[in-house]
Amino acid sequence: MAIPPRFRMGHYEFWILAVLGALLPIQAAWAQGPPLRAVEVTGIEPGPARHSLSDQWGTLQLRLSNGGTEDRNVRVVVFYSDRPDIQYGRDVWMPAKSAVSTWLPIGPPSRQWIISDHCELQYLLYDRTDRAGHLQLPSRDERIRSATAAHRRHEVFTDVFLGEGQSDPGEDRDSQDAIEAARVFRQSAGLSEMVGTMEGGTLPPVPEALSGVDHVILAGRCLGNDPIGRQTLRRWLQHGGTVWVMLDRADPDVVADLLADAPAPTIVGRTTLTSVVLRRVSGGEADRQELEKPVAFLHVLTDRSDTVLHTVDGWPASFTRPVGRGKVLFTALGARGWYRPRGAQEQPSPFPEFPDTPVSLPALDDLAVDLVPVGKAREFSVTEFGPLLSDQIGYSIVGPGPVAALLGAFLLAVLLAGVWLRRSRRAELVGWLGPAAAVVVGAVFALWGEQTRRVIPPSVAAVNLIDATAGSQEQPVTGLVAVYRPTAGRATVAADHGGALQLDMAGLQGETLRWIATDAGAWHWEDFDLPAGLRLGSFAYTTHLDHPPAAGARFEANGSLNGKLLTGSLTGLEDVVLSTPSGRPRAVILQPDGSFVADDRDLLPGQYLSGTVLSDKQQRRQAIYRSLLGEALPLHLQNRTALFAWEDKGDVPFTFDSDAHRGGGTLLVVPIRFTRPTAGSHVTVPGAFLQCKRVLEGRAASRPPLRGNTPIDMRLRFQVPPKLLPLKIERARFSMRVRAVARQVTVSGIAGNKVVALKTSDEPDGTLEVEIQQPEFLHLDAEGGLQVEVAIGLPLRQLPAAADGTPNKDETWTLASVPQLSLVAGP
Amino acid sequence: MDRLLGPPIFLACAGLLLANSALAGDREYDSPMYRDPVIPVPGHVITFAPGILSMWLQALERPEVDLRCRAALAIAAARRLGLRDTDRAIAPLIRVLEKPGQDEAVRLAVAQALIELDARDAAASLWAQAESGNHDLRNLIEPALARWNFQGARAAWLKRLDQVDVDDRSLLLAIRGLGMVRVAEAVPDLRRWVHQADAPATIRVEAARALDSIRPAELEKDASRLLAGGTNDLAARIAAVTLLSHAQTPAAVKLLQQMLRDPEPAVVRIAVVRLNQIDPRTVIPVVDRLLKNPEAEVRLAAIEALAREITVPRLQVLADRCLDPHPQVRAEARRRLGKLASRADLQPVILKLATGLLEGSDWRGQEQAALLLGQLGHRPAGARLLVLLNSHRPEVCLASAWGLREIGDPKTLPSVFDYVRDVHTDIQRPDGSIPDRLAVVPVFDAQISQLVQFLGKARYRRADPLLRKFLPRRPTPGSRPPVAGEARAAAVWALGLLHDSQPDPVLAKVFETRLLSVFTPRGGDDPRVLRMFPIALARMHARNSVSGLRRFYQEASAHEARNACAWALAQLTGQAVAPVPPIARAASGWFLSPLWKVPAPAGPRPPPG
Repeated sequence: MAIPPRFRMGHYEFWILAVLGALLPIQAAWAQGPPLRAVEVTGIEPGPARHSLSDQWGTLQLRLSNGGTEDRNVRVVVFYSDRPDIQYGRDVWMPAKSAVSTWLPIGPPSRQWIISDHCELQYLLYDRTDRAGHLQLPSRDERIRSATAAHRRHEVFTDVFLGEGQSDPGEDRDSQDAIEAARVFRQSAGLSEMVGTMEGGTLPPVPEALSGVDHVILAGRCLGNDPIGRQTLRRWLQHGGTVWVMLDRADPDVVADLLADAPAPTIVGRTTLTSVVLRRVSGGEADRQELEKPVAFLHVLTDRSDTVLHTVDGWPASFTRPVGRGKVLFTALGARGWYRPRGAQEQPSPFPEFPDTPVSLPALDDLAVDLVPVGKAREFSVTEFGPLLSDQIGYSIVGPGPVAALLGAFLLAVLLAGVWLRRSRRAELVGWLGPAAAVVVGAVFALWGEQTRRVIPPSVAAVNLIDATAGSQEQPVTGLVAVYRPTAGRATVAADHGGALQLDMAGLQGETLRWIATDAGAWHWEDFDLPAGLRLGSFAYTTHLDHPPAAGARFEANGSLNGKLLTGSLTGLEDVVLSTPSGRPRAVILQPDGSFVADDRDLLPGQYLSGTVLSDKQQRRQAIYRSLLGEALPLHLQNRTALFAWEDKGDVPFTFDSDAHRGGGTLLVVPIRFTRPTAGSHVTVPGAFLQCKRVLEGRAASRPPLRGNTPIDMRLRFQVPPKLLPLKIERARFSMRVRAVARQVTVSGIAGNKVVALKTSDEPDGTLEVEIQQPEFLHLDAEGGLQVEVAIGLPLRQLPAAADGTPNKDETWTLASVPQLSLVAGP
Repeated sequence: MDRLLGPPIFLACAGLLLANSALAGDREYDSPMYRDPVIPVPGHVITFAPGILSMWLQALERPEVDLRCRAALAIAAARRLGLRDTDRAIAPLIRVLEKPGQDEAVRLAVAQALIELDARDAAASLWAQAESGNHDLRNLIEPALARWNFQGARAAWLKRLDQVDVDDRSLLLAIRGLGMVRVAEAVPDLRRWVHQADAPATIRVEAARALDSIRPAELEKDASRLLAGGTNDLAARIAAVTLLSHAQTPAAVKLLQQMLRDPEPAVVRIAVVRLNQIDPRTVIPVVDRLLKNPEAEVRLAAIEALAREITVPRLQVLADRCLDPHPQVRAEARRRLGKLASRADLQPVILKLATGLLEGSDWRGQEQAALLLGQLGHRPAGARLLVLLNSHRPEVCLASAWGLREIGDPKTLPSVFDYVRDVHTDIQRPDGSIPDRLAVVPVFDAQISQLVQFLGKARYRRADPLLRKFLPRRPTPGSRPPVAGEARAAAVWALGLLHDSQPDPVLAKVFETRLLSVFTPRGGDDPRVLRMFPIALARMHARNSVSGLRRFYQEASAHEARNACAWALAQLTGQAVAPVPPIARAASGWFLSPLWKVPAPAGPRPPPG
C-alpha cells in the first residue's frame, strides 16, 4: 500500500523514532528492575500449625520458584488488601533453578475481615540481588499479585498434632479417636467443632508459629524429628499455652523436650482395658464404661509437682503440670476412654456437621473445665508497668496543676485588665488585649511543653516480667517497653535474637509501615519514622539463663518459712514478696547470699513491702504488686507459692536507637520448691500455704462464698503442699473471721462419713478459732487434703427491717476472708 | 517437609489395607481369593530431585540461621526416606557444628542430622556440644551416644550420679546412659538410688532398669530388700521386679513367684512374663489367680503358661478363657487350643469343649468356637454355624461365615446359598430397610464375601445367576451398595471358578468392559474388584480379552490389578509377563529443592505378543 507523502518519514524522523523505540523497553525495564520473570510466588497459605488466619498474628507459608540460571535474593511483601499501609515482608535466598518453601509472620487482619471466612491478601515481589530492591511486576495481565487466605474469627482453638504425614488421619483409627476426643472435649467446653490438625513437617522457629492456637494436643509423632519445632512448642507453652499430651500416642522425645529439665512421666507398663472405671481424685462418683474394643492405658509414675485429677485402678489417668505460665495435661488413658458413643435415642450433637459426635464422660468434662476455665481468667496486664517506666524516663506531660494555675492567672489578668480599663474609660482596648494575652499564654504553653520534651534525652526503658520455669534454662519473659524521642525522625526498631514487640502505632496512620523478617528471630521495621514523644509497646521473648532461677524452702516448727533463692546472673534483688495459695502475701527478708525468711504473719491489706517509708520507686512497685496479687491471682499463679523480687536492670533483646539512654527493671517470679522437714522434727504449716476450696458434689471445686443471706453447710478442703507429703498431722487450728448476726455458726471435724461438731458459736462477730487435736479428724486424704465443715444456720430471731422497708443488712452473714487452717505435723 | 509423600502413599496404603483384609485390622478372617492366585504387590521407591543434597549443602553454608537449620533437618529427613549418598553431608555438618559461635538452633538441628546419619565418628564432637551446657543439645545427644556405646561420656555420667545439685532430667540421662553402655562402676551408685526411698519414683525405676541392663551379681538381694518395705511403696516393688527382668537364679524365681501375689497388676505382669521365660511350671501354682487378674496382659501370660503345661483338665480352664471380655485374651485362648488340637490325645476334648461353646449362649464363646471349629474343619458344627449366621452379634455372624467356608462341608452349600440369596433379596428392598438383619449390617460385606468364596470354591453352579447380580457397582442408580468391594470381589473371583475352563463370552465381555472402564470418565471400580477381573478372565480362558488385558497392564494406574493382568496374560498366552516394577514416588515438600519434572512411574515392559 502506498503511503501519502505527508505521512512519510524523513531520515531524521526515522532515526529519532528508532532510538525512542529502542529506549522505551529499557526505560520500562529500568522502572521494573532487572528481569526476574523466572522468580514466581507459587503459593501463599496460612500454616503449618493453623490453616486459617485469625484476629491475632499468624504465619503464612510461602512457596516460590526460581526458574532462572542465577541465584536470587528476593523479598516478598504481603499485606491485607484493605490495609496497604501495614506490610509484612520476608527475605528469601533462592538458588538458581530451585523451589523454596518458607514462612512469614503476618499481623492480624483489619476489622473488615472479622466476620468473613477469608481474607484478601496482596503481595509484592522485589529482587534484592543487587540490594537495591527492584519491584517485579507480575508477568500476567493483572498488575497486582493477590491471594486469598482462609480466615476464622478468633475463638479458643484446638490443634491436634498427629503423625509424620505418612498416612492419612482419616484412615488411622487412633488418629481419628484423637481428633474425636478433641471434638468431644470442645463440645463439653461449649466451644465450636473447629479442630485443626498438623500431620507432620516442621514448625517455624518464630513465636507467631502457634499464634491463634490455644490448645495443642500431642497425639502422634509430629515434631519427633524436629528439635527446633519442639523448642517453638515449648516456648509457646511457657508463655501460657496449653498442651494436652496423650501419652499413649505422643512421641516421648517431644514430651521430654516440652518439660525442659523436669523429668517426663515414666511409663512402667502398657495395657489395654475393656472395663474402665475412672475415679476423680477429688471425690465424687466414678465413671464406668464397658468397651468391646479395648482402650490403651499406660501405667505412669508421676512427679510430685504433678496434680493427679483422675485415676484408673489406682494409676493416674490424667494429671497436670505447670510449665512457666502454661500448663500440660497428661492423659494415660486412650482417647476412647473419655467418651462414649451417642445413643440412637439421644439428642444429636450441637455440631451440625458432626451430629454423631460422642458424648463426653463427666471426667472429660472435668478436663474441659481445667483447660477452658469457666469465665475469663484474670490476666495480669503488662500495661501496669507504664507508670514505673514513665518515672524511669522522667518524661511527663505538663500536669493539670500548673496548667490550671497558668490558665487561672490568665483569666485573672484579663479580668483585672478589663476592670482597670473600664475604670480608665478605655474599655475598647479589651478587644485586642484579651486575644494578645491568650497568644502569650499559648506561647508559654508551647515553650513549656517543648522545654519539657527537650530536657529529656532519647530514652528506652523496659520492665521484664520473668515467670521462672523451674529447672529450665529458658525463661519466658513478657513486659512493657517505653521509647522516648524528643524529636521526630527515623527510628531503629529491630530484633536479631527473637522476640515479639507490639509497639503502639497510634498516630502513624497514613504512613506505610513495613515489618521485615530476615531470618529466624531476626526482623526490623523498615524506614520507620516515629513522631516525638513517648511510645509504649508490649513484648514477649524467651531468655536463656545458664543458671535457672530456683527457690527452695522448708517450714520450721515456729511457722516460718526458711529458704534459699538461687538467681544465677540476676543480682541485687530487692522488694521481695511471697505469694501464697490462699492469696495472702507474706513479707520476705532476703539476705545477700540468697537465703530468705518469711514469717508467719500476714501483711496488712494493700501493703506488700515492709518498711515505714517507701521510695517513689517502691511505691510504684507496690502498686504493681497490688495489681498483680491484689485480687484473684492470674491463672498460672493460683494455688502456688512464689517469690516476687525486683532487679534494677531491664535489658531486652530488641535494638533501638543507639544513642538512647537505657533503664528499666525486672520482676522475677520464682515458684517455691518445698523440701520435706528434716526427719524427726516438728513443722508448722501456716494457713496461708493451704489452699481452701469448697467441696461440691464430692469434689473440691470452688472458692467458698464469703457472704450470703441463706443458711449454708460448707465442706471445706485444705490442700497441703504436695511436696510435704506424707505428713503426720498432730493438730490443726481452723480460723475464720466471721460476722453472723442472729445466727449460729458450727465448725465440725470430719472422720470418714462421721461429722462431729467441734465448736458452736452464737452470733459470732470476729475471729472464730477451733483447735483440732482429735486424731480421727486429722487424717489427710490420698492427695493431702484435710476437710472441715462449716455450718451457718437460720436466723435465731427476726431482725427488724430497715426504715425504708428493705431487709436488715445484718441478715447477711459475711466472712472477712477465706477460712484458714494451719497445721502442726510431727515426726 | 509436611506431606512429604502425602496422598499418593495414603492411597497406596489404603488400597493395600483394603485388599488384604476382610475386616480392617482383623487378621482372623483371611480370604482365599487373595491367595489363589498370589498376586505380587508392587513395592515403592522414593525418588529425589537430582542435586538436591548439593543444594542443601549449599544452604548449610549460608549466613541465615533458618536456612542452616532447615538444611540440616532436611538431610536427616531425606536419610530416613532413603536418600543415598547422605554420608557426604557428614563432614560439612561436623564443620558447621564445630564452628565457633555457631547459633544454638543450628547446633541442635545439625546434631539431629548427625544422629540420624549415624555419624559415630562425630560422637566426640557431639559430646562436646552436650557438655556445653545447652540442655536441649544434651537431651538430644546423650541418648544417641548411649546407643552408640560411646565411652567418652562415662566419667561425666558417673559424676552426675554423685552430684548433689544435679537436676532430675540430667540424672535420668546419666542413669540411662550408664545402663545402656553397661558401666559396671556405676553399680554402687545405681543401687543407692534404687534404695533411696525419698528419691522420685522415676529415678528409682530408671536406676533399676540400668542395673537390670548391667546385670551385676546379687540383684536378688536388692529386690528382696526392696520388697521388704511392704506393699505401701509401689516404686520399690516396681523397681524390685524390674531388677529381676533378666534374672534366672533360684532365688530370683522364688522372689518372682512371690511377686505373682502382688496386689499391683503392673508388678505381676513383669514377674509372670519373666517366669514364663524361665519355666512356665513356676507359674502354674497360681495360674487360677492370674487368670482372674484385671490386667489382660497378665491373663495372656497365664494362658501361655497353661498352654505350655497343658493337661486334659486344664483344657477346660483354657476354653473358659474363650469367654474373656478382652478380645485379645479370648483370641489367644482359642489360638492355643487350635495348636493343641494337633495332639491326637487332646483333639477330641478340644472339639467337645468348642462345640459346647458354640452351642452355648455366650456370643464371645460362639465367636471363638466358630473360628476354632472352622480351623479344625469340624463338619458337625455346620448346622449350628448356619444358625449363627443370623446371630445378634456381628462378630458371630462373621465368624460363622468364616467357619463355614473353612469347614467347606458341601451339605451346607444349599443353606449358604439360600442365606446369600435372602440377604441379596433383602437389600434390594426399595425402602432399604433390613430390620431382621441389623446385627449383620456392620459385617455384611465381609460375611457375604466369605460365603461367596465358599460357593465359588465349591463350584456351586446354582449360585451363578445370583453372583452376577453382585457385579454392578450400584444396584440402582444413586443408591449405595450394602455389600461393598469385598463381597463383589469375591463374586467375581467365584464366577471365575464357576466358569473355570468354560468360556462364557457374555460374562467375559462384562468383566473386560468393567476392567477397561478405568479409562472412561467416572469409570473404574474398587481396587479389590478390579484385581479379580483378570483372574476370572484367565480362569474362563477368555482369549478374546487378551488385548484388553494388555492395554490395562500397559496403561492403567491400578498397580495390583496390573499385576493380576500380568498373571492372566501369562495364563492365557503361555508366556511369562514381568510384574509391575516398584513404583517411583517423588519425595516432595522440601524447604529447598531443585526444580525438576517428577518422573512418571516407570512403565512395565510391553508384554510379548
